[in-house]
Amino acid sequence: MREAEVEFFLARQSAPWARPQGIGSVVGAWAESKTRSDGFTLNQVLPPRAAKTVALPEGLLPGVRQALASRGITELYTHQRVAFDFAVSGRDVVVATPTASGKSLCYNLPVLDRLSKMKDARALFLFPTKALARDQEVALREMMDAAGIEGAAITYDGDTPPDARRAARHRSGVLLTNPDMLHAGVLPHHTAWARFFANLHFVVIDELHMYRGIFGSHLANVVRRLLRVAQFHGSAPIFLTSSATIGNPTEHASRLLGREVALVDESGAPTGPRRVMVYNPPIVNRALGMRASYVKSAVGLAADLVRAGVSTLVFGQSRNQVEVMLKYLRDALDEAYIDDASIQGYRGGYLPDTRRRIEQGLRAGEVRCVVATNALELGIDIGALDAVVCAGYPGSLAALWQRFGRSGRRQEESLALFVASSQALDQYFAGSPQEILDAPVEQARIDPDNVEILVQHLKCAAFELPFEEGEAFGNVPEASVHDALEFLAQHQVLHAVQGRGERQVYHWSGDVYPANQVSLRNVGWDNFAIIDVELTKTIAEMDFRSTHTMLHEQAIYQHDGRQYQVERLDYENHKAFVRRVEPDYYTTALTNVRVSVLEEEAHDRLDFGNGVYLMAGLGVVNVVEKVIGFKKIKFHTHENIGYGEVQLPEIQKPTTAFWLTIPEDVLERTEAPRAVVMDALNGVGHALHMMGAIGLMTDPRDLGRTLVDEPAIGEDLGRPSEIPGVGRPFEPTLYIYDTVAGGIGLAPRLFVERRTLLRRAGQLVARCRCEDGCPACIGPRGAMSPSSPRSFSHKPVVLRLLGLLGLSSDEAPAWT
Amino acid sequence: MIDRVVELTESYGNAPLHRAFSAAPSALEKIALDPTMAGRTMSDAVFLDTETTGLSGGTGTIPFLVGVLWRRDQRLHLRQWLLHSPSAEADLLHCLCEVIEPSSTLVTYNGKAYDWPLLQARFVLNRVAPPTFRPHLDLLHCARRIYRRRLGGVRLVNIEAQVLGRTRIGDIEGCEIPSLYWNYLRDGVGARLDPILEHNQNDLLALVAMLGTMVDHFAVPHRAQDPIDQLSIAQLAARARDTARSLAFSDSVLSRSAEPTVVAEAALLSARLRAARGEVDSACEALLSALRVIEGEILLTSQVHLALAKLYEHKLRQYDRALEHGQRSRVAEGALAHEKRCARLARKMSGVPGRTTPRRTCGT
Repeated sequence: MREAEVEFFLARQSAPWARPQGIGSVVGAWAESKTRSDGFTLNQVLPPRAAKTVALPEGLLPGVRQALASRGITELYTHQRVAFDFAVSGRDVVVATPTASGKSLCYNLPVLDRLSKMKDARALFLFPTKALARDQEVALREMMDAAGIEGAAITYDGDTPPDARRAARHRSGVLLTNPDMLHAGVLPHHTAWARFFANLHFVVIDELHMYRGIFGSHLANVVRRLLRVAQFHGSAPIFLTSSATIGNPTEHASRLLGREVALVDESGAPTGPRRVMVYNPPIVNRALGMRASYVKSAVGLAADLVRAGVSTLVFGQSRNQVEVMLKYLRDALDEAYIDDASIQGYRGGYLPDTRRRIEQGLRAGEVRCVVATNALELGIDIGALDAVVCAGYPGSLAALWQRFGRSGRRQEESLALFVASSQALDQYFAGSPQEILDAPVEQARIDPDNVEILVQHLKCAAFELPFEEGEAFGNVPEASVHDALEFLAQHQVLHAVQGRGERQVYHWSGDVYPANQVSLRNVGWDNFAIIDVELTKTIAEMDFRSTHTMLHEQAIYQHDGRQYQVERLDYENHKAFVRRVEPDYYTTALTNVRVSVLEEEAHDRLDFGNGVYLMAGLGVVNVVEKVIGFKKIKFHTHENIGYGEVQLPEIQKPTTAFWLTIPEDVLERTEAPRAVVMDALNGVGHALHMMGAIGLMTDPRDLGRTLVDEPAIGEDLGRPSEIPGVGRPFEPTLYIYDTVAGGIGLAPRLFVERRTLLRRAGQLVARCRCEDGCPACIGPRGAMSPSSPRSFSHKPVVLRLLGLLGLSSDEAPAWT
Repeated sequence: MIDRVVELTESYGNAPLHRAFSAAPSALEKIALDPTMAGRTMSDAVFLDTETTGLSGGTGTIPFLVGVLWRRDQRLHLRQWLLHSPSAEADLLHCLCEVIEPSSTLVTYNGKAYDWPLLQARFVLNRVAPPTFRPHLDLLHCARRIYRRRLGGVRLVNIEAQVLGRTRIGDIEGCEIPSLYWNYLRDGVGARLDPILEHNQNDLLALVAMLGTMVDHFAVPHRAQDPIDQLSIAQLAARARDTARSLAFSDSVLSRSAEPTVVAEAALLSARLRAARGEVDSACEALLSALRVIEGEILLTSQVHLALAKLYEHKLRQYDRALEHGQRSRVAEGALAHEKRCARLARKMSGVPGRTTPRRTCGT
């Protein structure tokens, strides 16, 4: 062949149907595209970071060195070495370095080192989910085998068969489990684990940032119990913990463990350059402030990436949304002859086998795009991806960065793209995108001394080992423990007897097993099985709470891009029977929320002059959520094409709430029909909710809100003056409450910041350019009640209301 | 501590107490299906039963009443320790250890799953050294093997009523026990616990009586026994590799009128054991005699015909008789296997030597 011919053939490789490949080409094409380029409000490349490495610790035995070498590890990143040195010197450690920086070696190496030197040494690993524990078990077992360590690494959870349980008790060098199993399955039977606890050297807690709020407060108490049991058996384990980026890793870890913790946060792992982009879909209706669908925008942008051969991970906000995006993406990429199988969904409800297959496909490169919920946010190893597209703000900057961290190569450039929805928080960050790079990351908060939680765990602890007078409980002082024990003894939950040395000893005195009555998570693990009636096969599982909104009868359940209709929900037996259908719509549930005050803890009259005032309150409320019906939403156009009713039991939970009651004369001064004023109040509630979430740096879903504008049927108000027709009419109240049962302290902080919160909400509405409400301020017009007259504009009523309160200025007040 | 002495000549229900102690070690080993019982007699065994503050187990469950029983000379010594305070537990465990340590065997009802692990946890919690290992005869498992088929369930009360012929009157319910104890601790009224003490004593005596009855039932088949129990014993003896006993009991079932399933199972068991010993003719006889009793039971007769077909084909090589039975074994073996069998037998009958035809399947 002549040279020219060779060149010809080589040139032909960029055939007309071949597309330019790689991130650079896609970003270039976006910049040139008229429809796209305007949407990008941020396009910045974070500089790469070179690796900082140090030699392996000298004391490692040859076996361990060999195990490391077999994984290609001949030196450590600096942070891994620092963590190792802390661990061997007996310090508790929290490692808070970015995703994919080799965090697990930080705790695995000290454990391997110890196990290789002390045959009887034991380690306990805690992971927030079963899947994570199984994932780590495989990796750890390989390393232990390679290092010639005899003891086994065994996962101990609800799925462990009885024989393996026995083996775990007697032989496991490393026990991998979750907090729930430790709490209900191990600690109450600690005598059967006597050898394990007597030789417990390390406790590893991974994904520490997951233990926030109620779950974290529970875990802190489980740790107190664990230490108490370990001490009984004569061991004092060191804690090795790791966390994703949060604002307060040291404080959080210390609160959780109840002791001082050394921080390791300077990563020595290399990262390639990362391009961070924010895309705000174009406005399509200025009057309503309506933007193009962010879901469709995200799908379009992701499709561009996949077509250019960029491995891409797309994060959705909910399971339902993940399925919608999966379907759209497959449809879009069909034209590019990209096989459906190379685009996969990944979310909690998928069965473990399916998830495993997808993870393997990703690692092997057969899967090119995954659409996921936050199930993939956790540290499941899927290898490096080129790009992450985050459709909608996940609720916190920490979570956003956690998702961004899923992309990233050691060398080449990676892409992290946030596509803003029309929600207020999304719009806030789309408008000030620099905040994403600069703002402090959210802090994780727990309250281990929350009385309700503490008392539950004192019961469990007394069951495990009787309490002796003068005993503390972790860092709960003796005096408080004593008071709580006396309280429990008075209620005959404990029985106090005279022990040795004239000391009182408190024994558990019930015939039940207290750990079974204490759930560490507000979401039960009691799943519903989803059964395909044609295949008579379980295709997925779903947790109890999601069942109400996703598996009610006639709901369209989406799974792996396919649609199923729920034919029957067997609520008692936790089964949903579904049949494959091909509808042109999907469904979303309509939930009715009622709030009633159980106990008022504080109130304040907020005076605004001219006799205008609001009553603010704080207290314990009972929130009753009931799914009353569902909407049918047409695919692609997202039109509302019908309604249906749902009959399901309601879910009740006590929690804390902040509320504002609006007196009747304030309502009258707005000079609008009552229905319109109620809609306006709902709009104010929307603004308060969003600004509350931003102010507290929390996920908006951690807060719930509802407007109670009429007394409940048959409700005893206990305040006769407010019953309609008797004295004054019923005064509407806006409630903003902690969505986590029991509360995690958000509402009290809103109460403290009530004036700033009101001013901030007023500013948000005043600044927004929309004419009659949009998702970024008082909520979209479509959300207004049907009874409200169409001819009326709502936003002016909101502004008049805020004006009465002197809140319509657009000057930004600072948070205290 | 409460001590009581019971004469060995007494009975519990219709069961004399002394029988448990005359049991031959070989019989005990077989009833227990436990080789560690080899050579043990009950004369230095300790019978044990506990009452606890909960039924779900876990370290917060306290055995507040521990009852033991052992034989010395012609008397049974029954001793109960009651915890007057949970803080006295370590002392109780020391005392218990002193009684158990010189014994050869522990006898309980469901103690392998419940009482003993619970006590082990208590030893750990109170930092008291537990007694050294010894064989543990859990009569629940024995009773399950011998009586469950007839009785359905083998709760101690069932066994007492159906096997020992005794019904307790005013016996306390298990679920009431924990709260009675906590009430006693609060008000110190000891009389509250009398029903529990009595309950525990009865349990211990029932253990002794039951073991004696089981040993007696296991010794030789007799007319007073229910054929269902006899079949269970035949199966137990077969598992213990006591072929003579198993045959004695299965043949006893065949000699009596019993339900067709019981007869069929006894015949199949008997035939299997006899064929293994090379007594093929008598194996066939057992099956043929069963056929007369179970006539009309389609599945059972089919199973017996299948067993006969195999014996005639493989052991006796009487292919015509084999085919005769084989033709009636379709239900038991399924259509496909059935057709193969019949075709093969027909071929063998026609004189084509089996070995010269190419073997297509294993086990022809």
